[in-house]
Amino acid sequence: MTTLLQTLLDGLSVGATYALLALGLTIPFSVLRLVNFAYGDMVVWIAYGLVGLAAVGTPWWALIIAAPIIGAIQALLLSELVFTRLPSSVLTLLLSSFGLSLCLQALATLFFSEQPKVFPRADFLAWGVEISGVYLSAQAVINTIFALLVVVVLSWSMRHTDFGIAIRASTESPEVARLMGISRTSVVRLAMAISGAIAGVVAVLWFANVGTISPRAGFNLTLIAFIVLVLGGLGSSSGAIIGGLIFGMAQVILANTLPSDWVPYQEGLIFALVIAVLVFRPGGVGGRLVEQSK
Amino acid sequence: MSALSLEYDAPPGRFGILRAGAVPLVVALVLGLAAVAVDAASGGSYRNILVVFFINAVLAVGLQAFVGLTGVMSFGHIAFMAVGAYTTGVLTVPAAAKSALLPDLPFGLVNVELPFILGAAIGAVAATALALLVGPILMRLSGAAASAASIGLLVIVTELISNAASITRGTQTFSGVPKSTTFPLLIAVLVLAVACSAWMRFSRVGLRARTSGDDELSAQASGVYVTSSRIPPYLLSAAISGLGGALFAGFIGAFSPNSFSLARGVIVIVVVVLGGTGSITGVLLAAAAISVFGELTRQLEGGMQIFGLVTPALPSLSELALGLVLILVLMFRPSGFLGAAEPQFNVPK
Repeated sequence: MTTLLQTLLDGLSVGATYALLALGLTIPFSVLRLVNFAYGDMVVWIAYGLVGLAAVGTPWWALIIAAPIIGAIQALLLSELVFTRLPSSVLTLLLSSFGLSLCLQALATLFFSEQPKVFPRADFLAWGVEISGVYLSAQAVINTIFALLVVVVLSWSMRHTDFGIAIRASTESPEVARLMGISRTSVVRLAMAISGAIAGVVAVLWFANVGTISPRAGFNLTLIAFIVLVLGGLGSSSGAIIGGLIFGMAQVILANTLPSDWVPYQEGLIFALVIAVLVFRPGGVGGRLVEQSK
Repeated sequence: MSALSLEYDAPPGRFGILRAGAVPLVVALVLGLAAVAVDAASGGSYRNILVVFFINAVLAVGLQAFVGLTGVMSFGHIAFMAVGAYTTGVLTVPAAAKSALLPDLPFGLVNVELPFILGAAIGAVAATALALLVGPILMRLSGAAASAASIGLLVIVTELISNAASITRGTQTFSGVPKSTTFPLLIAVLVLAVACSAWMRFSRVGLRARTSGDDELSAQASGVYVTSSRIPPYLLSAAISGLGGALFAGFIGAFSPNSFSLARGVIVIVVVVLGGTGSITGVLLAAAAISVFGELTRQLEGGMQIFGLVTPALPSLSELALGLVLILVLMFRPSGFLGAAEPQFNVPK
């Protein structure tokens, strides 16, 4: 019973971060049709920014406030420089973000070298309590709370604020939204800024957990976000959340129950699982939007 | 009327496909002979670059055979290259070396020592078999989901290779493949790849795949079953990529699962996008251009002397340059050099 509870709690903490990661990727997709391959590298660059700020003596609470702001600015810059200048086809945008990912990785190697850097980490994150056999670390609790907070605030503002409704309208039907006086440019900017801000939160949660950053750490993040997104259904926010939780749970359960000689195949098994889901539900678990291959 | 025109389909008539495929074949031959000439003129000092050009060209023609016809982007084709390379390796390493390298090889493969060409052919067959196994599943997906799943295939394959230590030496370096990749072999494989790819493109099978690539909904409406229409190009492109892997194995001699990462596939993807995903001729020209360009940036990477000025060493500059090329091409010429068109010789009336 306690093992089950422990597994569920671990899965929730991991899954919540994954859900957040995927949420940041799904919003630009629904508005701009952009499947952002460079997303993980953007997270890595924010983390490097935070390391730089910490090096000049910024306290941890200021870093937490700075992260989403850095993220939003970076995302806006990249979108103005690259994404909004491209023809809006899924394949072109996907490939260009692939190119952007290469550039960001190479630039990170150039500026920060391949050597991993230590990520600033508040001491209290290492705390933990044990309640009747179930271990709760401060890190896991904060992960879950932060992720849930962002998810709740975001889904509320998507439904009840003007800008949220504008984004959803543009997702539903870009043409009609424009006729209703919603500016496409500002919706795209808004979506990119939200995506970047979420990337900032992810940067803090993820790298505080991992401990170090290296220029190529972004690929793994992108991969996870892709899996979650495809599992949950592209362009669906609830799908991203469900997909993240399923994937986090699946990973924790596999790690705990897999016989030891199967452990090396863990990543492959997860991918096989994802492909199996896609075969039966090509639109993902919660996907409404079925994209055209263009 | 000029001698060449850009066409999307084969001209009618019995020799239509032959005429349509003539230009890419000639381009492949000319590039191949030019490479041999450069090698002879420079006394072999550029040999590595030239061989890498051929391997990249074969891999790019392989990827193009799938992407260009179906409109689905695959990031995982390096998986087929890996299967081709390892299969060729296992079959061609000399028996004496193999008993030391891979003593636990199953099915009595320890004593098998095939000529390189036979090993490469079986490598291509193995890659095709993998495509046949996963194709019916993966080909159901379109767009971004398909691309994500193709990365999944690559992760699964490299993980299997890393763990099947008795056959592949796991994450350790697999070495001892006889260096058998020669220029005649490279030219022959490139021409064969181009011929098969051109035939597929202009044949009825290819037309069906291209229809589904252009517009899935219309294709379905006109009776094309999208999933199965993608499978023949997928098999062909896997076979060509497998051959590319075999050539790579015979050139480099030693490799590990890391040699077949997504990063290895980047240059092939850039070549295909630059050439125009739908054009074999375009892809061949792009492979030549990118090989020269890649070598230049690689030299800059280590720092070099230009007119007495020493440039600083810039690690990962070539990667940065490739990424920039990809973005700029998509920005200013999204369909690449030739888009989906193939130059054709005009027969004077």
